[in-house]
Formats: sequence, structure tokens, C-alpha cells
Amino acid sequence: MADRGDTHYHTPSLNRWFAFSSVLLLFASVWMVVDDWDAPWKPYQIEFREIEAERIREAIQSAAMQAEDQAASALQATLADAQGRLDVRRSDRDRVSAALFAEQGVLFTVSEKAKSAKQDLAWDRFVIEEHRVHEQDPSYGADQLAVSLDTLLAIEGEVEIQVGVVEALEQEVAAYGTEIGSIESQIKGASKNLALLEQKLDSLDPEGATNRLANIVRDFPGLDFVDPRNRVQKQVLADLSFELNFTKGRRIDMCQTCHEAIDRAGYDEDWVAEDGQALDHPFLTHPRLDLYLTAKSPHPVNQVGCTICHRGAGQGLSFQHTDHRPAGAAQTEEWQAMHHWHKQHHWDYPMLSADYFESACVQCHKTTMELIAPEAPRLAKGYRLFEDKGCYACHKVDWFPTTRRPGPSLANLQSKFDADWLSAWITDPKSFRPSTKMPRIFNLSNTRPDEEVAKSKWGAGRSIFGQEWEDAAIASITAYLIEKSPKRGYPAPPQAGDVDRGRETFRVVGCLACHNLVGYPGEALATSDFVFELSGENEHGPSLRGVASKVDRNWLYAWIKDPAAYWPETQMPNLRLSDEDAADITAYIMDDPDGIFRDVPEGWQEGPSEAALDVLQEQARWFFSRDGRVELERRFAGENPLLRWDRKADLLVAVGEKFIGHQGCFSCHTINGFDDTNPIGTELSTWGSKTPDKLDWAFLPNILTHEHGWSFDQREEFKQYRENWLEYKLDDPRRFDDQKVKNPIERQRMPHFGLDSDEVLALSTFVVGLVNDEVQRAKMVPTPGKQSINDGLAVVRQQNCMACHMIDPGRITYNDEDGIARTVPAELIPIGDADLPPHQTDLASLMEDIENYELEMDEEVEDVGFRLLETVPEVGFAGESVFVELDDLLSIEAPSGGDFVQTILRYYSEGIEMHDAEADEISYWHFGPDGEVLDVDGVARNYTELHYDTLRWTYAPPVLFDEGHKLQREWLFAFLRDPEVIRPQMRVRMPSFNISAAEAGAVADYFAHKAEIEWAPRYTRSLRTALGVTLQDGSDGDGMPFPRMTNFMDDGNGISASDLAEAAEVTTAAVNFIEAGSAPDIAAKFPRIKAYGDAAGFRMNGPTNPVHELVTRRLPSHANHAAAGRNIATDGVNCFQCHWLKGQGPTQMETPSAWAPDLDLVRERLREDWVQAWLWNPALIYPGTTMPGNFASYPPQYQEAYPNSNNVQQIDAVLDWLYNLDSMPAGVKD
Amino acid sequence: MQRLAASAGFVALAASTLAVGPLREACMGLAHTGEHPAQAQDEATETFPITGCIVFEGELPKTLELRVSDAQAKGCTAEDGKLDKTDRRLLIGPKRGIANCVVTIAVEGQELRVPEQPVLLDQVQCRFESHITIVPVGTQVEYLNSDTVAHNVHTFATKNKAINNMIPAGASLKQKLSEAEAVAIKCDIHPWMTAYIFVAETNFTALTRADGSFTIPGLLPGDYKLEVWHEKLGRGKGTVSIAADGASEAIEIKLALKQQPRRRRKR
Repeated sequence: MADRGDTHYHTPSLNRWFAFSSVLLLFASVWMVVDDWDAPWKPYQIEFREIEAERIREAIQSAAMQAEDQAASALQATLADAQGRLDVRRSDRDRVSAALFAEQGVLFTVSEKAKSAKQDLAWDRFVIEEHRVHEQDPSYGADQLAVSLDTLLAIEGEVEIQVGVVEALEQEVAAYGTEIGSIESQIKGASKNLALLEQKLDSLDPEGATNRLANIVRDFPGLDFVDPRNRVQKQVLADLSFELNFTKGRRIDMCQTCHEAIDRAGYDEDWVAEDGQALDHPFLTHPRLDLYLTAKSPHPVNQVGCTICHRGAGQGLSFQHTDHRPAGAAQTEEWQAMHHWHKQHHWDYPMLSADYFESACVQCHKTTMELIAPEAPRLAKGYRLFEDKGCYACHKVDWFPTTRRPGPSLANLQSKFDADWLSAWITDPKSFRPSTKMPRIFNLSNTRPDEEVAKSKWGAGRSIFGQEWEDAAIASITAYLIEKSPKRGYPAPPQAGDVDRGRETFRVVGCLACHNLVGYPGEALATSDFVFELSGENEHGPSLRGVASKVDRNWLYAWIKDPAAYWPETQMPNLRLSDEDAADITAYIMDDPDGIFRDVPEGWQEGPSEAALDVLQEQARWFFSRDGRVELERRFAGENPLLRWDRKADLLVAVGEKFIGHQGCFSCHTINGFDDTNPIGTELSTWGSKTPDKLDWAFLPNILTHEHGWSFDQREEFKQYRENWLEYKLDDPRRFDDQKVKNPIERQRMPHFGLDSDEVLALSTFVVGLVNDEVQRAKMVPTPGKQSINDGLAVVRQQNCMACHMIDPGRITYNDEDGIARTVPAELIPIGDADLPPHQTDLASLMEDIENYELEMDEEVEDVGFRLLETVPEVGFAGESVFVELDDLLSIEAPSGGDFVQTILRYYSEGIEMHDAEADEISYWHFGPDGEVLDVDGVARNYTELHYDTLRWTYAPPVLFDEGHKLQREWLFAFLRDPEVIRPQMRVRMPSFNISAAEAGAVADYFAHKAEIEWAPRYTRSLRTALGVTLQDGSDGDGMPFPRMTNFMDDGNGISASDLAEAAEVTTAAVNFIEAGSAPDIAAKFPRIKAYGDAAGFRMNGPTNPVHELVTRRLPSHANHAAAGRNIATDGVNCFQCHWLKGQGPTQMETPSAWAPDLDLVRERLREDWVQAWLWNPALIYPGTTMPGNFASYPPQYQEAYPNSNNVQQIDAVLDWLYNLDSMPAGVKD
Repeated sequence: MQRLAASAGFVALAASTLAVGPLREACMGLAHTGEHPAQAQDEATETFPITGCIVFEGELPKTLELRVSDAQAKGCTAEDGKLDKTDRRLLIGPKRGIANCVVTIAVEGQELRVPEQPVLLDQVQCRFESHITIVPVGTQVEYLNSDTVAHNVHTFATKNKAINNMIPAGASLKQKLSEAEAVAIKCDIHPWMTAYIFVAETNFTALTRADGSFTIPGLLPGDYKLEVWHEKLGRGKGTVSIAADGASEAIEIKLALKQQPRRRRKR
């Protein structure tokens, strides 16, 4: 087209536009590049790099110092040394060379002398021979010749010697030469190394000149896409999902972009930079690298990331976008000023505050809540409160393991207490029992109708909104419960109980293991009895204060005989009390001679609640208004008198039923007529995912704003966090009804539990953790062993096993003689000359006991003794005592459980403390007048002089920390379901627990797996200790495999971990990790240690997997040996002095403190390896036990019973006998 | 008395001191005059005994026999024999002297003499003989069972090794005690059998006689501190001076029953 004028565009203006847009584009590109370059996280990375550089310099400096100290100084020392040696050798060489020169001179002289002597001899010989020929005198000159010859020979000898001297000197000179050469080359090498080292130190400087230019280029805007030093650090978590706006994707956490040191050790708050700046966020290391982030921890950062625990926005790259969470008002202000921080709206999971960190554990650890308890104490407390307070009964949590109804059954309550007590109790349970779990449902902020609402009355001719409303409600609930629980009428106890016997039985049989008798608030307890004080912590069962003023005597007798008959779901176990024991305890409680069961707190007032007919009618109107106006008309003014609501008794029951249904009493209690009713609470399975805007905040934010003078922003921020809502709800469940006008039966109904602020925080920590299933594959999948331990621990806790049994020893930390802090499993022994050990709780309590002792005994206590409960290398064997000075004692940790042992010890050796209030005197009561305790055979005996060890192992509940090694799993399972008597002399009972087969199995598995997990560390520790033992009395020459642990050992301090490591060909670190129980190290390296132990002949009880047990001694091949075992048992040791056999008592039948378990139980109860170890040395397993070591002497005893046998063979024979007792002829002996 | 001394390992020493003066009938009030014919040969090393008495203070407790039934004591004695049921844990003489108290004097710089032969602790007719045995640190003790029934020797030691071994009839067991402490020894099969071995860091020890009196021989003139130990009454202290001529006042130390300290209630 030629006609330019026809074009639709105008080229110059197009050019201008093009130019303009190019400039714009250029500008935009530059802006883009610059903006991209100028990311908010970069300053952090730059600052961190400086910190890092400074730390590296520091490290180099210290490394250089070390190098100076070690490598360089060593090199320099070598150099100096070499130089010295060189000088010495050189002067040596010079000296020897000079000597050589002199000796060479001598040699020359002597050689010359020899030459002339030879010439002399030749001349003499010529002269003499000539003379002989001419004078015919053959013997002429023989003497002279001989002399000349001698002279020559002498001189030649001299020459020879001198040649040797010279040669030797020459060699010496040559040798010095060689040595000098080698020293010189050494010096050369050392100098070179030194130079290299210095060079290396130089090159390590991070800001060295060589790198500077490259760094500038790398970080240059526009070029920084190639290989920038500043870059976003992200963790792409393949196994974790993330939900945003209904789409699911991979979770990506970029937190490490700023928090660069989070997974690197050593960036701590106490590190101070050169400019005096202490290290602070975001440059700090995570405080628990052992648990989080590192590859060796259970939560490696590349698998778990950050936001799964901390929440917040993991892909945010600025302070604001990550939704950081300030801790408190001060930090909020600081952040607002520094970072323009404000709450990131509409982010469903804001970062958790420090108080709530543990919430996040729930999503992955639902099945292992018991295992994580030590690391998440607040969450654990919340989880237990959720169970203990019965929250789960109203609020469904789909995975929550407990399902039983937490409150007692009310199906037969009339036979337990009466209506007057019940009314008062419903009014305010805590006024009768301050420690009760039962919440309050009346006398709360919203339990009375509003005056406004009450005016719209229908039936009554007046406004009903005061006290009378609540009184009528309580009366109606009482009426319904009484009506629906027909009085069963328990028969009277078959015999009148004896109060004194009851007092003793109550004390020793185990009641105080679960129940307490603590004082009412503000009340000085009538007695200062240690056991009452001790039992104060037993909140498993209710306090028994005041119980005699509540319950019916006949009911009490029936209840303690068989609790489950009255309340099938009760946790109270059956103690299998005899009629006599039950009657005695009933009499002791109901007659209350000690003034502890009958008195009630001040202000408790039993009595009926009044219910006026018109109030009941008004309440009925509200409840029945849904049935329609016609129905109400009929009820109030109808013609049929049968339908009319004017009979109070009927109305009470009808309204009571409505109130119970409304209040949800049936969620916790079994109530007739409410069998299949659904609980009233909101399901909480995913409450933590509920967004704050879905919560009904009601007027609370307004009220608080008014109260605290909040700004609008503060008020809005308050509403952004669901925890705020929850905390207020738990603190006062009716709070959200404040200032609301509502229908009285549609108000908030969650009862008031009276939680303290710690409990509120703990419970909300748990509930906030209940989120929907956003975590995918990375959920913790515990090994079957760990799962068993978790499940068993849950049952152990729920059944309160630890009240009586110590399942883990306490620990004591102290500085030893070398100033090394050690923590050992140990128990305290008595202070000074005291009879009983102090109660092991903490250091402060021990110090108090020591002070008391010093005050009363008027002597100073300088050291504290404790007994090792496990073998600890470099300290000693189990059972050995350690004494440390008070100043060296660092901390004391209580054992897990076993408090009831103290109760038994105190009673047997001291008695029950009785307080005579009038005389203000304390005396000590025993069943018998001279300190006697009633034994099971009906004889009263005095045990006040018995050593506490004997009492403990004979009359108190056993410790269980080695139980998995000791017991056959199947036996334990059966025993838990239906206990049999093992130690007949014990008054305290192993109760029959109200548990399922699954629960019993969980406990049995728990012990088995715990033993398995602990076995390798224990084996290693014991092996190490045993290797340090030398046996006395030559008993190692007895054919005993070395080094059997016998009674005769000294210096059992063991070899060091590094020695064992070297011998077993593993690293020292591996030995230490195995001893600390690290599973991966045990899996990888323990077999080598075991192999080494086997080769050394070391044996310890328990195979590596006690779950799979086999009683090999039942095989026919062992039967022959059994007869020899029987002979030893009968004629040698005489086991039957103490042991029962097949129900037959021991010889010492009249000495119950010497009784020992029936040997017929061994076969099915105990594991072979354990029994073997036990027979070798019982005290190594139970320090202080009455069972003596029977096979420890040298030379071996019992040769008549088993001729020519050694101790090994004897124990073997006894084992064969024990495990084949059922096939042995009846009776003790043939 | 002879037996006690022998088991303590000081046969010669004890015998010589007993020969010194007649055993005093009354426990208190007699001082040592300094006359000491047996050891007067060498002025420089002349040593003297001290004497004294441990007396009981307070209301006298009831004296009871050990509660041992015939069934419990089966096999302990010959069939017609009778078990000695004297409770030796607290024996108070007619003048309130306490038997079986251990009196020790720590003397600086003394060389501890340890018996070469094991010191015997016998079990005869279900009783330990002796009830209290004093041995110096480092002594080897031999637990012997002279009975026809088995006993277990259960020592409740904390500083020494606690043992609990079965000792069949006629057998014995040796143990070296190398730390100072009072070791309680019991037989669990026959729970009335109790004894103590007092391991002392000194050779200057004595066990009080039935009347509560004691004599510790072999001391140079000077000031000494005495310590008394009794298994049920606890510890007591006293001082004594021996003049250059050997004269010393008789010491009297009082012991009383003590209540064990109890844990106080925390409020």
C-alpha cells in the first residue's frame, strides 16, 4: 500500500508509545528485580551470616589456640627438640672426628713402629742365619730371634687394636652423619607443616579477600537467581498435607529462611557478639534439639517441619505473613512498633502461644498420650483431667479411650443415703466434700430465671425468679432419683464388728492407698499422723472424711465386700475381705472412735429443699410448652382432674425427670429411665479446628472491653483466638450467658467444676489440640512394644497400681569424690541411727527430715546414705550403699509409686498416731497392748524391732521394676484377672480389679515390653560392672563361669565404657548410648556387646525378648536332675524352713515374717532365667530381701545331698526340681 | 566375760587388765589410784587403765523374755534342752548399770592392731554368741553355725557389704569388715536371734559388764574423749583425764531411752 495516509496508525506516535511503554517495561522490570531482591527476610540472613562469621572466627581462634596448643606447639616442640638433638649430634660428630684424627695418628705411629720392627727382625734373622751357616752352629741366636719375634707380634697386636679403634670411630662418625641428615630432613618437614597450618588458618577466614567479589556478584539484583547466598530455605514435607480453602496440598515450611540456626546446636541466648549484643530471635537454636529437628531426634525437620507443631503460616516470608504470636501485652506493643504487627485475620491456625505448644502433640500422639506425658506435662495433665473430671462423658471425642461413666451409679442410691442428704449434696457438693469431682449445677450465675422472663408467667399468679426456683428444681431432681431407685434394703452385717480390729485392718489392708482423710479447708486435722498426711495425695478414690454421716451402715458393709455389685463400672476393686474384716471396717468407720469419719465441714446442712406447687407448675410450663398450648390449657385448667398438674408428688417427679434430662446428669451417672439418652455436651473431636468466628462469644468481649478499657483492636484480637473463649468457658461455664435474656431452660448448662487456673490451662491445652485430621502419613506409628507400654501405663494409672507398687526406682543426683555429678537409681537409707528411711520425695523434704533429726537427737548429720537399686558402673552393684556429704547432694527424685509401703512400715514399726485433743498428747496405737500387730494366723506379734528391710519385703507391697524379667506373661495376665495368694503373711491385699481381659493383657504386655526395652542397657551396665570384679575365697576356681555375680565380690566398680567398647569392638559413644537406652544403637551395636559378654561367660537374667518365653526345664531331659535338686532342697538348703509347698506351711509356721511363697507357684509364675539369677544372689535383685544366698560359699556345700557337685550344678538341679515339682512324688521327701 | 573378750580378739590384753584390780561390785565412784604393778617396769611407756560405768536414766522399762514359742524353736536345742530366752538387747543391772554398751576411745596416732585370726561369731542353740562383738576395722569375722538347724546370717550393714547367706548346720562363712559401723546381724528364720558387730576404728574399746562397768587399759596419761554406743539407747559421750601418776576419776555416763524423731507435719 502506497498511501501512507491511509494507515490507521500514526508511526511517530506509535514510536512514542512504544518508547514510553519500553521505558515503563524497563522500569517495571527493574522494579520487579529490585523488589524481588529487597525481600524482608534478607536482612536476617545477612545479619545471621555476620553472626555466623563471627562465630566461625571465634571457632577458628579457639581452634588456632588449640592448634597452637597441640599441633603447632607440638610441631614447634618437635622442631626445637630436633634442633637440640642436631646440635648435640653435630658436636658429638665433631668430638668423635677429632678423636678419630688422633687415633689415626696413633695408628700411623704404631704402624711405622711395626714396619721397623719387621725390618729389625728380618735383619736379625739374616745375621743369625748367616752366622749359623758359617759357624755350623744351628742353635745360635735362637733367644734373640724369639725376643725380636715377640716384639714384632706385640707391636702388630697394637696395630690391630688401633685399627679397630679407628674403624669404630669411623663408623660412629658415619652414624652421626646419617642421624644428622635425618634430623635435618625432620626439621624441614616440621617447618613445612607449620607453614601449611598457618596457611590453612588464613584461608578459613569467612570474609577473606578471595570471596568478597564473588559474593557481591552472587547477590547482585537480577543475577541472584543463579546461585545466591541469600535464598529461601524451605522444607517440602511430602508426608504432611495442608488444607487451604478446601484444597489439600503438600505442607511447605519456609521458617528456616529467617530461623537459620534453629536446627544447629550452640546458638544460645548466652552467646554474646563482639559488639556486646546477645543472641536473640530469630537467630537462636531450638531449645530441645534432642526431641526436635535434628536427624537423630524423633521429629526431624525434613519430615515434620515447623508449622505442624507451632502452627502459623509456614509459607509466609515476612514477620507479618507468618502470623507470629506475641507472648503478652508488652510483646504485642513491641511488635506493633517494630514490625507493624497485627493479627493475621482469617488464618485458621494462628501460631500457638508458648503456653499452648503442647496442644500440637495431640494430633499425632492420640495413641501414645501416656508415652509423651513426661515431655508434655501440661498436655498430660489436661488429658488426665479430661478423663478424671469425666468431660468425655458429656463431650464426645471420637478416639478417647475411656468410656465408663465417671460418676457412681444412682440406680440404687436410696440404699446408700437418704433424700435429705441428697438434696443438700445437689445444692453444693463441695460443701460436703471439698475435694469432690462432682461439679456444681445450682447457685450459678444463670441458674435463676430472669426477672423479665419470669413476668411472662402463665400458670402461677406471680413472678418466680428467686431462690424458690432452684429449691424446687433440687427438690424435683431428688424426688425423681428417690422414686426411681427402689430401696434394696441391704441386710445388716452378719456380725458386730470390732472397732480396734477395724482400725488396724483399715490401716493395713490398703484403703489408704486410694482414699485420703485430708483435713477440711481451714481445719487442723485431729491427728498429725504421717500416714494421713501421706495419703493426702491419694485422690484416686474420694476422701473418706464425713463418710459415716452420709452412708447407710448396711450399705457400707455390702459395698466393701463387693463394690461392683452396687456399681458395676466402679474402679474400686474387690479386696476379698472376709465377713469379719468387712464388719470390723464397717464398725470402725461408722462408729468413728477416732473422730475422722463423722464430722462434716462447717456450713454443711442436711435437709429437704422446699418446692412450692406453683413454682413446680411454672417449671413444668417451661419444660412442657413444646407440647403446645392446648396441652398446657388442659394441664392447668383442664376438666380431667387426673391430667391436672395439681398433685405435688407427681409433679415433682415429672419436673425432676425434665431437669435431669436438661442437666445431663445421666451422662455421668447411671439413672433409671435414662438408659439410652445421648449425652448433652458438644462433640469436641475437632473442636480445635473450629474457627473463632463460629464460636458464640456472646457479650463477653464487650463486657471485658468495658472492664479492662480495651481498644477496638484489642477486642477484635481477643476474638481471634479460640483459646480465649475456651479459658473463659472452663473458668466459669455460664459466663457466656451474662447480660443475655433467655428462656430459663435454654440457658448454658455446663456445670461448674471449680477448676483452678492451672487446670483450666491444662484442659484447654488438650482441647485446643483436638483438630481435624490434617496430618497424613507422618502420624506416629509406634512399635508394638511402645504401644504396649503406652496402653499398659494407661491401665496402671487408671487402676492406681502405683499407690502400692514402685514401678520405677527413684533417682538421686550427687557429686562423687572426683566432683563428677552422677544420677543413680537409688533409695534413701535411714538418717543417722533412725529406724526407718525418710520418705523419698525431694531434696527439700529430706533436708527438713534431717533438721528434725538433728533437733530431736541433738547430733549433727554430716552425710546421707542411699542404696543403689540397680547396678551402676563405676559406682557399685545393686544393694550397695553410697554415702555423700550433704553439700554434695544435688537432687532427689521420688520413685514412681510405692507410697503405701511407707504406710505398712510405719504401722508395723511405730503404730498409728493417736492424738488426744484434750490433753494435747500424741501416743502410738498398735492392735496389741505391747505393740503387737495381728497376723493372718490370728496371733498378735510384735514387729517393732524388725529391721525395715525385713518388713518391707515381707509385709509390704512388692516393687515391680523388674517384673517383666521375673514373671511369665501368661501368669501375670491370669493373676491380674483373678489374683491368688503369693505371700500368705501379708495383710495388705492385691485386690481383684474390675478390669477387662484387654486391660489385664495391656498391663502384662507393658511389663514384658518394658523389660525387653530395658534389658540391653541393664545388661551392658551389669557386664561392665562385673568385669571389674575379682572373686574372693578362690570361688572363681570353682568351675563357675566368670564372672558370676556372687555375694563375694569386692571392688565392683567396673571397667570404663571405653575399655568395654574396645573389647567388644564398638565405639565408646555406642556403649554410652546403649546404656542410656537408645533404640537405634541397641539395634545396631548391642549384639556385639552381647557376644562379648557371652564369650566372657557373663550371664544376666532375661533373654532379649521376654515376650516369647519357653520353659525348657519341663523337657524330659531335665527330669533326672530334678531328684538331685530335691535332695539339695531337702537335705541341703532346707527350703521348707520358710517356703510353703503345695499349700503346706513351712517348718517356721509360727514365724510369719519368715514365710516365703509356695514353691509350687514357681513353675507357672516365674521365668527360668530370673529364678536362676535369684538363686545366685537374691540381694542383687531385691536389696535387703530375707531370702539368703544359698549357693555362694566356697568350697561348695551340700556335698552329701549331691556328691561332687559345684554351685552351678546345684542351682541347675534345684531349678530342674522347681520346674518339675508337679511330676515329683507327693510330699516333701521320698 | 572371758568369752566376750576372746571373741573381741584381745585375749592377752583383756586378761592382763582383768588381773589388775578386782572387779568392783558397785559400779560407780571408784577412781583408779595410779598403782599399777603389772606395768611399772618402763617409765616412758607406762600405761594405765581407765574405768567407768554406763548407767540408765529414766523410768526402768519392763523386762520381758524373748517371745519364742516351742514350735518356733524346734531343733534349736536338744529335746530336753531349754532355749535361753533372755532378751539381751537391753540389760540393766540392779544398780542401773547397763550391760553390753560399747565404749570407745579414739587415740590420735595409734597404730591399729588387727587380729590375724578371724574373730568368731558363733550361733549356738539359736543364739548369737556373743551378742555384741567389738572388732577393729579390717578384721575378718567368721560366722559359724554350731547348731543342728540352718541359720541365715543377714547383716544390715550400710558401709560394709551387707550379706545374707544360708549357713547350714556346722558350716561357717567369713567376711572382712573394713568400715567402722555397728552392723546389726539377724537370722530371718529365727527372728529373735539378733546380734551386733561393732567395727571400731580404735583398739581402745570395752564392752560393759553386767553391772555396767568397764575398763579400758593401756592408755598414756592425757585427756581423752569417750564415746558410748548401745543398740537401743543410742550414743553417749564423756571425757576422762589420766594424771601423770596414772590416777583417773571413774567416769559415769548416762543413757536414756529416746523417741525416734518423727516427720513433722507440713502446713
